[in-house]
Amino acid sequence: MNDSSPDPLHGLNPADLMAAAAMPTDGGADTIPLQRADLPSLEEIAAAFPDLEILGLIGHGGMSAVFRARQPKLDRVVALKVLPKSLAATPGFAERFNREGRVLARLSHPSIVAVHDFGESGGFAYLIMEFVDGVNLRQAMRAGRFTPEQALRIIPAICDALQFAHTQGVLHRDIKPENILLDSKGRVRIADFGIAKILDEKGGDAMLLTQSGAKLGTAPYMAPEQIEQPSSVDHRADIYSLGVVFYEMLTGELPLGRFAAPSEIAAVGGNIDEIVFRALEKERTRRQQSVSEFKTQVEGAHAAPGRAAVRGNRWDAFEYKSRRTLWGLPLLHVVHGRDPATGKRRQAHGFFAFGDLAKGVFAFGGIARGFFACGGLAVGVVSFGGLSTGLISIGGLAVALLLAVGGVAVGALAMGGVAMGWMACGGVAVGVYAHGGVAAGNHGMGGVVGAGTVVKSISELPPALQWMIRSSPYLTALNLLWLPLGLLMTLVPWWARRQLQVECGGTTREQAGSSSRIFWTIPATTLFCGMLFWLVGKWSTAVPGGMANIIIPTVICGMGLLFFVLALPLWLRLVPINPVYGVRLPSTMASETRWFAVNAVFGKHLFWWSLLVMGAGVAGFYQLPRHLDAYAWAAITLTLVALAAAVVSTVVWMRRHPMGATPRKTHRLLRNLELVLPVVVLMFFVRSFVGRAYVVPNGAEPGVTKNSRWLASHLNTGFAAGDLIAYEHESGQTWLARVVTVELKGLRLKRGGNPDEFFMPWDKVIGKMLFSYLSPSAIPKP
Amino acid sequence: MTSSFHDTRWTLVSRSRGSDTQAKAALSELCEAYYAPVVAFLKRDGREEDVARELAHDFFAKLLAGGAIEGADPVRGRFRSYLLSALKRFAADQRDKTNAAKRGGGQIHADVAEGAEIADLSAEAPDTAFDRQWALTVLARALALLEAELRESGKGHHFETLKPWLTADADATPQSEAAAKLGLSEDAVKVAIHRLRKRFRDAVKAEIAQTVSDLGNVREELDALMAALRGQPC
Repeated sequence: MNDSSPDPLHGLNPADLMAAAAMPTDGGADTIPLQRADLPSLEEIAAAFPDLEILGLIGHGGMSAVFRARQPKLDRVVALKVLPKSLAATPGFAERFNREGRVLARLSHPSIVAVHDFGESGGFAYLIMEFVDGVNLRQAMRAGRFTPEQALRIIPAICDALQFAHTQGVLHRDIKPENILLDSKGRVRIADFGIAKILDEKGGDAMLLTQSGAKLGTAPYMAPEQIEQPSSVDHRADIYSLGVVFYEMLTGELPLGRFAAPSEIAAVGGNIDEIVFRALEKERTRRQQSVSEFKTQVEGAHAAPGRAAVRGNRWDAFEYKSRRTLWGLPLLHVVHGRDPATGKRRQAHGFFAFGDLAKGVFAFGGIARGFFACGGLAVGVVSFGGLSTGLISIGGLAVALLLAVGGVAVGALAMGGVAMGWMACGGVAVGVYAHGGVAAGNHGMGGVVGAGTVVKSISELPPALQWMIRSSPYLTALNLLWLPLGLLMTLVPWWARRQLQVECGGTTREQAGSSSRIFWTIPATTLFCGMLFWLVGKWSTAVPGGMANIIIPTVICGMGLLFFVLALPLWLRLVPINPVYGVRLPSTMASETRWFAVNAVFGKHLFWWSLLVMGAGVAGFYQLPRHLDAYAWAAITLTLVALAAAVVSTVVWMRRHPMGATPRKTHRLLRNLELVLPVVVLMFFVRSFVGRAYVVPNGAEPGVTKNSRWLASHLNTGFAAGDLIAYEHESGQTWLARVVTVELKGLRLKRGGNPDEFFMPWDKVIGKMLFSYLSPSAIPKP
Repeated sequence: MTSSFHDTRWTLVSRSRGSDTQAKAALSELCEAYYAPVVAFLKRDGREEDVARELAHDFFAKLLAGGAIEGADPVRGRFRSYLLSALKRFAADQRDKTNAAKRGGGQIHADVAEGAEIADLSAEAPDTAFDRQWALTVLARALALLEAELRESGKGHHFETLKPWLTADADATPQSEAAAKLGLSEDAVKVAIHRLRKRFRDAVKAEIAQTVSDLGNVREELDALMAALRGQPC
């Protein structure tokens, strides 16, 4: 049996042995961060911290997990850092933890994440820290949004915090991008001060951590002496780490081995190289001797002249790939700039691909190839662009196998300023069959014709050419597709970059929204442009005298379009926090998440209301004269009500979704209670100016049954002989009659059973009966 | 359990409910390994050392003979819990029997022994003693395995020299000394320590794995054993 040997444990402390055995080994590699499976579960944490509401996991590192939690008593959200149970079990840890924790809790600086509390609960050693809503530097760098200027702005703020801590006698010991946070207002916050010390004060413990892989992961940021003689570390180790972070921010690389000077990679001056190289000296006596010295040097470098040549605009480069795929391609792939690894231009390759080089089913970009390609140079079955080739091409220079439309068009069927092809139609047309201002070919027709056969009539031309000539206004209008497509090509990359940043911020998918949301812009921009064209068309065909009649509807349509354009980016969460554009209600600016959530709600409501306002505007163009005054007032009211309804709905939503708490449940019937009033207003508007239902009490008109119900339109969509209309009789009642003829100033009508025709001016005409939706004769009598 | 897992001894036992020969062999191995906790339990339950040993022997004999230990269901859970519950029942039965046999004052020596034990050791429940001894046994077995392995590969002195670094608080000896003793560079010593620790962790976990039915429970069991060693309820 085991107790036969004198001491089976070889004199070692059993508790320590077990603690050592409990270190994670999974995977067998030397550097294993805590696996997700090793993490204490939310339930476990919730059980260990009954005073906190655990809201979710923020992240986990080698030795700890950080949770977002709420302190209900103080009603504040905090970050809960939990150290593994095995650590709390190591001897001497408790005193060390207490001693260091007190020092950290005293460390109060605007750029240092405050430690509110610490202790041990349910076997876990924990720290309660201020919760910073933002991203860490690592995530920010991954999103690729640092210019050297930005790096030069951020570093001094880090220096201030470090200098403050150093004067308090606290070393950070673990400066790395993961520990430098950028909050939602872009301020720098340094986290995990001295945590490294809590974890490994003594050499033996350092060993324990090294063995567990906790420190090896951050080794690139550690000063040489920190690795070799951890006990001798002083504040200059933090300077070294800061140098590494600075180098990484500038170059995107780690200063390993024989590393390049920052100015070789990034657009910075040579004096930056000097600062970085000095901070990264192996011998600490040769580094900057204080953080403030480092800061002064970095600030001095701001004004540095002689910027090195930029090797590609790598800071703007980014890549977004949606997780959803279609036919094996990412649904959306957006790229911009060069790949920092290869220096080559990135290529977008997705179902919808956007980029300088784009390939996909729908490709948009500088050079686009795809089933539908749109861009500077577009190649596709349907291509659209400055220079486009394909089966059907539309663009400045269009070359197509089948149909080419454009400034210069070459194709079997070609149409454009200069058209060349088998059948050509345009300003200058060259083809076997040509039709145009100048037409040259076998069979020609037009102004100046140089052709073997001069065709006199369109009907003698082949049907395809006839079709082209007839539809030429529409085909030309196709060129105007540039507008929505151009809008799309601007909006999507903008959105993709935003999305990238949001996703980097650790926001859950639900908050970030689904990536397919952006495709709303396609119908939306099309609708927008269609509406614009329609308005322009209305104006261009307006009767000179009737100009006044279309101003009010145009203004209303314009308001609708304005709402529409303003609402869409808000709804799609494209607008970052700013004081100008977006909802400014109490607490909207509290955090990035809140901002996007509230603005999305407002944007959604305003978007739908804007459609109704536009509809009201369109109805205005078709009003009969009698309504115009009333219409103007009603439409303006409706516009204001729409805006108010969107605001009220947003406020209601905000009340139901308080920050940092679970949304309040509302009964299904009460959920949209705030919309009742606006909807009533809308119904009145529709009833007065669009259409309403009538009951016809007597069936004097032929074809009208007694007591039948009719739907009537109030819009002037044209009248024809035989139409059943309602008009205002002298008595003030509404009477029915049938149209005999349409005259300039009104309608000539005739009533059933009365042989006399009479004239009714426009302003007495109420509307046209469209159809009967209920007729008593259809109901069987009992 | 799916076939992709290695069968542990305890799964062999629990699946067959100890009825086939393979399972019996496995159970006997397990029992042999965890003899010490049983003795510890019985001692703390108020028995003299030799009585406890004798009883432990009887207990295992009964267990291995497939004798019904009622209420202890080997199908699920950990071997430790199973053994403990079986042991508790056994001990209770045993006491009833002894009491019945010695009705009339025979229990005096047990009372004396109990009093002596309590005075000797801080009042530790038999369960706790059992768990604590169990944890020690696990560690001891892991260490023994580690030592045997190293000896086999001719590195016995490595184990002797480097074992202080197995625990967290062992910076008493600087590594340079160990390096000199082993004739290695300091770096090599670091690597060797790292390997030793990793091997040790693996050995402990493997040892624990033998006593649980689901490999996912190793971690849980490890935590429980750690709590037992720190004198906390698990």
